[in-house]
Parts: sequence; structure tokens; C-alpha cells
Amino acid sequence: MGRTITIASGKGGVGKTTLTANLGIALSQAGFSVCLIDADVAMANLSLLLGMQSSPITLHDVLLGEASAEDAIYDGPSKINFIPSGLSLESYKRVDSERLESVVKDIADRYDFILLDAPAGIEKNVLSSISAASELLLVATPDAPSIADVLKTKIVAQRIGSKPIGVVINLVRGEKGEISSEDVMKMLELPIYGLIPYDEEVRKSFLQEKISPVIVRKPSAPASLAIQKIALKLSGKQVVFEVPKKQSFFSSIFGRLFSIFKKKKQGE
Amino acid sequence: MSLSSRFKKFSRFFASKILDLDDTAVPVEQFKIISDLFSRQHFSFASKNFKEVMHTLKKKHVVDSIIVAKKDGNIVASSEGNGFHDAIMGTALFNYVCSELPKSRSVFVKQDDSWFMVFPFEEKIFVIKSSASLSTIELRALARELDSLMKNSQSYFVEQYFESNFAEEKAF
Repeated sequence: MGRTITIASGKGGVGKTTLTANLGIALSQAGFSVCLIDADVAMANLSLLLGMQSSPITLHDVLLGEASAEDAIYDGPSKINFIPSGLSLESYKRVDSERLESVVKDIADRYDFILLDAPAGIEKNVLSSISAASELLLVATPDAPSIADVLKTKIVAQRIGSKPIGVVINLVRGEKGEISSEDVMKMLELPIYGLIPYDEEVRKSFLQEKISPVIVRKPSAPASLAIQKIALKLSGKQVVFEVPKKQSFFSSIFGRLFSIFKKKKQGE
Repeated sequence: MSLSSRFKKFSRFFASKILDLDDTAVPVEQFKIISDLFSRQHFSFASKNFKEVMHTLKKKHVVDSIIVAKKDGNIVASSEGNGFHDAIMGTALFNYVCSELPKSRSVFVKQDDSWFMVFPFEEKIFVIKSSASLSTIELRALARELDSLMKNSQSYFVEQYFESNFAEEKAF
């Protein structure tokens, strides 16, 4: 039986879905069999990120008992498998998210890793996605509101018997006001699984004609490299993480001048 | 726009866009709030007093009372005194609902300001009272934890707990 990991954060907009998609692909590229499940039954957008919006059978149908888990599995980029969530509000109102656990159990033997993208918050659907997996990977940005929400998620998860394995700190800019990874580790009493730098390439990957995860579009981007390291760590290999350094005064000025020049040239 | 205000505007633009001066500061006050939140969330079940264990479990799962009974209504554990009344009422209610709706997995009753939740787990009936309703996942987690605590506790702690409650009842 493979590892089942839910990726949750409590707070919205910290990069859960982006991390799930890219981490799944990184694990697949490292040679593991991976299935991603969009456990956000209300606000599904993992399929959008993977460029797979039109799926006739979804997790909604499986949770409603109208289809089997096997029927809802699709082939995604880089050989990953993917169970999308439906976009219909009507079926969302009818689904019983507590059945998710049995859906995961049904397919757990087939994969090395099953990653579940949890919704934001700590309500019923979040609890369902957390309890459906045996491990929990938390995502936070290096600021107090995000850390507080992750802390609440960890507490709620432990209350229902889940096992948090670590935290990924996303959107790290290396600014003075950011909470350091050491402090995050102390506050949450969890190991840091990785630091993902703020990377314009991640944002740009959403602004394409066909959305493609950054790890596929720009594998050498700093965020892609950081996610690859997290994948290695998840798979049991030890790696050393580096905090992204702020650019020096001169490289910052030249970088900006260069980008302004580039923009003007593109405008012409 | 005067020359000085134009100069100020340009300086601000230069500072923010070109020099990118970092005016952020380590959020010490925000840290305090988080650590305060954290300090309230340590639950220890190491106590040898079963009453204390039940009290900690109540706090951990944010419920008002926990009563465990056998399917015939005999009490197994309670966080509130002997809990006989709730145990009998809970099992009777659950048995009645199951006789009318055979596939029932839990019974939720909304009272004035609280919820009365009854569900079976491992051949026992759990009766939970709380000001908010709990999801099945939360109820199952609570039951699983209490069940394992009862199994792991040496039986004499549970016996001690009941003896003290019976004594209270007799005195009353």
C-alpha cells in the first residue's frame, strides 16, 4: 500500500493546489506512481492547473455512489493519474465527502503516492480530506496569519487522529519581516519539508493559453527546483534547503533596468 | 504640483521601485498571539485518574459531556458524575430510531442551546453533548480515542473512577 498524503493549510491562497500539482509531477518524474485527488469538492481547480477541465466522470459521481473510483481516474501530465472534482454546484450539495476515505482505500494499493488537495478552512470537507489520508503535509506562507491557520489545522487534524509530517513554506521572498523557518518549526513543532521561493514563473504558468504546471513549463525555475527537493525528501532522501537570498543593490538595479528595457521592446 | 512635492514623489518612487527599501519588521506581537494559541493546545493523557483523563478528552474535542454505555444501557464511562440518565436515554433513543430507520448510523437531537449526539462504536453506544454539532469524522475520532484510552488504562483506574462516582451517588 502506498503513502496517502493530504496537502492542507487552513488559509486560502497559500499555494496548496499549485504544490499538489507540481509535487505530484515531481514525484512521478522521480519514478514513483502517483495519483492526485482534487478533494476540494466545492471549489475544485486542480483540474484547471493540470489543463484537464473536461472530465465526464468526477469525484462527485464517485462520492454520490454513481461511479467507481476507477472510472474517475484520468491520465495527467508526466504520467500522473488524476481524479478531478466536479464543478457542478448541484452535485456538490449532494455529495457525502466522508466517503472520500473509502475512495482512497480502494485505490491505495495501485500507487506509491496519493496526494489529496484539501480545501481551505477547517470545516467538514477539510476534515474529510484530512481523515482520508494517513499523513498530512501543511503549507504556509512565512507570515503570522498563515502560520496561525496552519497551527489550527494541525490541532484539528491531530484531534481526528491524523499525522502531520511537516510543513512547506511557500512564497518565500527572504524579507526581514518574514517568519524564519526555524521559528515556524518551533511554533508548529514540525519539520520543514521545504522552502519554495516566490517565483514569477509560477504566476506566469497560469497566464498561458493552456495552463501548465511550472515544473513542466519551466523545470529550471527556482520554485520548480524547490519542489523537486521536496519530492526527494518525501521519498526518503535527505537534502539541504537554501533560503533564497535578496539580490544585491547593483544586481537589483540592473535586473530592473533590464526588465523595463525588455518590456519596452516587447511593446514595440 | 510644486517642485518640492515633485521631488518628494520622485524620491518615494526611487526608494520603493529602484532601491526596494525593506521597511518590514520582525512581527514580535504577532508571534505572541500564535504562541498563546499554541500553549492552550497541549493535552496530556498521562494521568492515572480516569476522571481527569475524561476531562482532558472533553477539552481536547471541545464537547460538554461524554457518556459511554453498553447497548443495553449499562454505563461504561462518563465525564459527568455517573451519567446513568443520559446513558439510558441515549441507548433507548438510538434503539428506537434504529427500529424505525434500520440503517441509522447516528442520532442528532438539537436542544435549545446544545446538541445531543448518539452513535455506536465497537459494540458500545456513545452519547455526546456539545453546543455545536460534530461531524461523523470528529465523533468517530473521539470514540476511537476514548476506546483506546479505556483499553490501555489499567482496569483498576476505571474501577476506582466508578467506585468514587457510586459513593457520590449514595451520599446524594
